[in-house]
Amino acid sequence: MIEFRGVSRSFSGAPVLVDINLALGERRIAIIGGNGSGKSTFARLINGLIVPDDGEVVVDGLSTRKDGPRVRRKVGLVFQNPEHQIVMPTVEEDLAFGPRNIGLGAAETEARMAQLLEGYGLAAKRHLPAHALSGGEKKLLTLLSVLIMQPDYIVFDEPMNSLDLAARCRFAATMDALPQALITITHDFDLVAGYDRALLLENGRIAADGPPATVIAAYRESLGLAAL
Amino acid sequence: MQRYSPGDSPIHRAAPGAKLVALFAIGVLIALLSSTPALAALSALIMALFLIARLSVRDTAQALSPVILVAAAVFALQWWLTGIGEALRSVLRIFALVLAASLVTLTTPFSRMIDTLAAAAGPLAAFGFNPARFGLAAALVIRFIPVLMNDFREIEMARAARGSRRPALGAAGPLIIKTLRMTDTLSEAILARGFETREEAMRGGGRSDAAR
Amino acid sequence: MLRDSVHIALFAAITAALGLIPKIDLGIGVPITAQLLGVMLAGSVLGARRGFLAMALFLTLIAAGLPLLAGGRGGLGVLVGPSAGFLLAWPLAAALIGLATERFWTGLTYAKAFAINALLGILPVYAFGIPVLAAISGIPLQAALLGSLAFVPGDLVKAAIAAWITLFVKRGYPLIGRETMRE
Repeated sequence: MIEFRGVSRSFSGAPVLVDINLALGERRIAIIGGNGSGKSTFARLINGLIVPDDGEVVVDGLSTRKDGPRVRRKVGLVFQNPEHQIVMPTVEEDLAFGPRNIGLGAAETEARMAQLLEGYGLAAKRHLPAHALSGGEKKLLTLLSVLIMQPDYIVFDEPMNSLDLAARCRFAATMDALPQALITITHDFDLVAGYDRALLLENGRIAADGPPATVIAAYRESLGLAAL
Repeated sequence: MQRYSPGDSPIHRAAPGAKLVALFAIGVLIALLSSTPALAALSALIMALFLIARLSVRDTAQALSPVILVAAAVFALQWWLTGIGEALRSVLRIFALVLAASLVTLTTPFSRMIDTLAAAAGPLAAFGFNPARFGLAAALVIRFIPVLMNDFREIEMARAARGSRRPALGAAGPLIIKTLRMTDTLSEAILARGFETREEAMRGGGRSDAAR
Repeated sequence: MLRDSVHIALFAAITAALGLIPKIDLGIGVPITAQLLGVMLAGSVLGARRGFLAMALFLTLIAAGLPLLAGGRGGLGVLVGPSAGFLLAWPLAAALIGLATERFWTGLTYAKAFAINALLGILPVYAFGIPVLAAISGIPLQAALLGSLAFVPGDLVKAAIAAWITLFVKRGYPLIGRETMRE
């Protein structure tokens, strides 16, 4: 369970999120909203990369303020641009980066890596430099680098952004099959149409909260667009 | 992407630290020797080491190629200024030094060399040197060279498409800004994957991390 | 700070990438490359400390065997060869450029930026490079000096570019002036 308790956050004096109170326990949650609505900040509050000015974010009883590193082991974050998330020169080095950081042994790291590479069809490419991968493969690599840490929750920040149509379909299917609880920030409504819950962020507050269809309709209305 | 030539000779297996010390000694020796026979003997000795390391002619040529033209120019100049004896000695010194140094590089894998250099920098911990950060920085350089080149080409093409007269030149500024923006996301991505845990462990001086 | 390490690594990478731009490498004594531009940028954009470390990292990677110098050169051989002095002065040059840029940041004009990059990019590098070139190759100092002067015009062009980029970055995404503003 991820809880936001009276969370507020500002940057350079300007409020970005104001008094957010939430309990996120559903398996598939969507976060939608316009640019500047605070979505990116929201994502980073969940895994503790940013801590609130007021209030607390609590993940399975762990405070992001006091237990950031442990929270980050539970919550994986897949960033918008894979190019800026892949940190090591080759596929296998990048996959090993996270486990190595937390002190996982070589044998266990290799076991997890082999399983993920096999399962997602990248085994043949494990020795390749990251820049030799296609866009879709890079995105997949960033997901695997998160999965290898065995998180309980995964936050996706605009996952469809850097992908072409074919890659988008494949990645959406991949996301669909994940056993973890997902929190997906997106403006791709098709992606989250079947989700359990959607939250609409507007000017730093939760403007709507409920089934995706309802929330998306509320969003369209707020933009002055008739239901299409 | 390395200048390392894989092999299993005694020289390959020797500790990088020892090789660096030996290189330093050879350097001193080269500076001190002043007779042509002595320098020739030293050069022959180094070539013998190349043989022991089972390095190929190609490796040797590669080691010398950066300095061939300089050596030729120096030879010509010295011959004209001082005489053939000094010309020969100058060239022998250059070759001996470059060959000895290249021998170390050719027989030491990149990762071992980096580890040795990081360990040697241990005393700098007082100034804030952190082996984990160093290793990360080294890997980041290798990872991002092709990414930056790609970004540069993309910006350049976009400028050319808009009719810019000197697309390459004008692309430099935007590339730098893009690089600066990239830094924030990268730092977040690194932290999000637990890097601070490793940093703590390495800063504490203990080797808590069994995975290599 | 972790961000610093990332900045340092990226500017070392930029310097390496500059070596991959095809340029005429006469190899007479001083390599003609765009890489000195990387040195200048590291100092002007990152400041003295990070600029220094970026170049130190770059040289360390060369020492470890990576072919990051123009023409795919690398390894210890390059760092003990005739052009060693020029290379080993890069961290110092970056640091000096950084210091001067930080010092004159408010009110930095193109003329000042050019002067900083030209003087502090060229003088330290040649001041170290020429004597070391003479010593290693055994040729007289004057010969080394004369041979190297041919490359100064190219370096002045790099300084001009570096100055332009410095001001471009200052307007768009300044690092030096706004270090005190943290979120």
